[in-house]
Amino acid sequence: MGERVLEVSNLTTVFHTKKGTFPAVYGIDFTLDAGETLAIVGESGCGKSVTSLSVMHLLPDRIGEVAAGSSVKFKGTEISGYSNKQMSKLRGDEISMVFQDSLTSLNPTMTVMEQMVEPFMVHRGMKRREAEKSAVEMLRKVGIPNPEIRARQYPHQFSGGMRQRVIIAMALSCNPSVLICDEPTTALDVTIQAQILKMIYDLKKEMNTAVILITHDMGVVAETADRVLVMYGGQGVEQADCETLFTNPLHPYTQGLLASIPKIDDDTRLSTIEGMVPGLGNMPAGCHFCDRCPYCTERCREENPPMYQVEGREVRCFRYEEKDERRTV
Amino acid sequence: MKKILEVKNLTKTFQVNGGFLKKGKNLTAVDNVSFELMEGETLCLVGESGCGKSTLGRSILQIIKPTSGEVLFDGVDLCKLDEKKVRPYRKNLQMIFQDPYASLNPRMTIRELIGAPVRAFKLAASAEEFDKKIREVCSVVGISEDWLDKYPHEFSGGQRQRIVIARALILNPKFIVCDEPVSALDVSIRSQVLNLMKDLQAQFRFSYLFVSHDLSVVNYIGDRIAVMYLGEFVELADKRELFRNPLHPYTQALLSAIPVADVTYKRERNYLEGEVPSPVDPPSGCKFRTRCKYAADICRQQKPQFVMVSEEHYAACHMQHCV
Repeated sequence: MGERVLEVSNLTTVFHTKKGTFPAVYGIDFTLDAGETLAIVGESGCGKSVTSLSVMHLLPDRIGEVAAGSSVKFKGTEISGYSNKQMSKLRGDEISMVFQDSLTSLNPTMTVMEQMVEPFMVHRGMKRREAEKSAVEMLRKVGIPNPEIRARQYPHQFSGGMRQRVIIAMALSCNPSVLICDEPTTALDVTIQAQILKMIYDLKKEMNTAVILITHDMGVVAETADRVLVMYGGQGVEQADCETLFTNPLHPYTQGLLASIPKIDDDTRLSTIEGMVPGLGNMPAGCHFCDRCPYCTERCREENPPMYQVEGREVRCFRYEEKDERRTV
Repeated sequence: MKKILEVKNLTKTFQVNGGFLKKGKNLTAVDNVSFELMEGETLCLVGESGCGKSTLGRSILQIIKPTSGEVLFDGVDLCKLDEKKVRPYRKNLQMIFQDPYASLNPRMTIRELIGAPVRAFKLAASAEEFDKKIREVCSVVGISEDWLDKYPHEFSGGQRQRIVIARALILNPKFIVCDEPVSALDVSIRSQVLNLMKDLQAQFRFSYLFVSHDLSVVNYIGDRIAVMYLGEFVELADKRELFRNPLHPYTQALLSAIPVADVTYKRERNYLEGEVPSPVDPPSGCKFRTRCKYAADICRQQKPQFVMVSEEHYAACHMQHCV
């Protein structure tokens, strides 16, 4: 793998609500190397999107804030304390983001071209004509037919898959080091999803971009990711490379999650994870998964396990305490 | 096994882009679809968005009046009946929608919501009988009784879908159309709801028409699978047969496009080029030919027939011999 581009440690984000202040993300740690794809998976409300928004400084101030002690290092520089102005220079240039909903990500009153030239003019200081040329080139790269003509059209004239291509073109136009994709294909049909995922993969290879893929779909993870971070209740519960995670999941939540996915070639009864994801306000005091865990003990209810390092991977569960490699005997 | 439903040449055409004095275009959402459904069977409809799977489900229940064709339920053609005469049949025909948030009236308690069909058909003579019916269905679906006086906003998506299922079951229907019932749910909750739906079917022997875009869900819940493309059935077969031996190029592409949550699963990827053409102006002949890699001249000139290829396996493709 290449150079380390992103290092997030102890990232904690709190939300201010009417009922009080609750942490939505608790002490997330992960790293990202150039050319690598890290998938962050979890169910709705587990904090996967909040994690990425915190890295990008995109959380509205009144709603949430990144707590003190969190560290986000981009190419060795601490960016968690950056001002909005400093972040603006970074966003869209070095780190860019693709969101789920392609319709709301584009401005409906501007043609695609007017929106496409922005990153080139703002970050690269190009003149309009030059920027237009590069924009058309980018659109061709993401597989939009007749880019010269299509660029003069408005977003509503594009289909969902085509709009998502435009957004990816825009995100990649300044050749960023990190591309964060937040559920990029969730709103699309499977055949279009396959096209888009392949395109992201090809472009990533070509440009050596590091990709953070946020998704709830384990199928997408299995096919695209190099490493996987599984989140539950605002915490990372397991981190491993893709193959190990799918063949030998350690955390009871990951095991339950994988077992509850219907298989394409097997219709034996699905196992389920009983109960529901706890809300932000009533997270259990101990391990966040304890209420739904088949192996739950007294200790799990009282104490939140740390991330243990086991066989080159990380897992947050007391069952692996003895195997922890950092443990002092 | 008893045949419970027979759909013959069902077609639904919508007028679009029309206006006062302006003639609109016709959009054929469901095009000449025929199938049969047995008691206790699950037929799944799969296809991309806009292929007409939801419209088909709704036309069968007469929520949308079909343009032509027949829907025979217990030997009676529902399409010929007006709204008043269909009403008694609605006891046997129920529907579960995708969005459990929009399906429940936020101003009604769970008791009122689940009991609404009983009240609508005046099936409970007294308050005790009403209560008894609700309690019965709640124990079947796994709703605890202290939910009954709460309001929908107090429940999560999976719990709400349970409430919707309870409401659909309270009249003991024979046929339920499920329109993407688990698409809005999280993985761990989805498996709970799927298992519940399967258990209930085994217990009460009703039939499902299960609309979904997710092939792995379909494989879990279904018996037979129908693949739709631009309003037409392109393939219909037993699920094992369909997954093992897909004949239509569209089915093959669809199967190869699903992401599989298994790193050891190896296969040849078969990427489908382009996007679904507009249903207002579909291609001539075979509707799939614009995206099909086997397309030949005959595909442009002639519409392929939906024929039986092997036992209980139907497909509509000119090229199936060489595929």
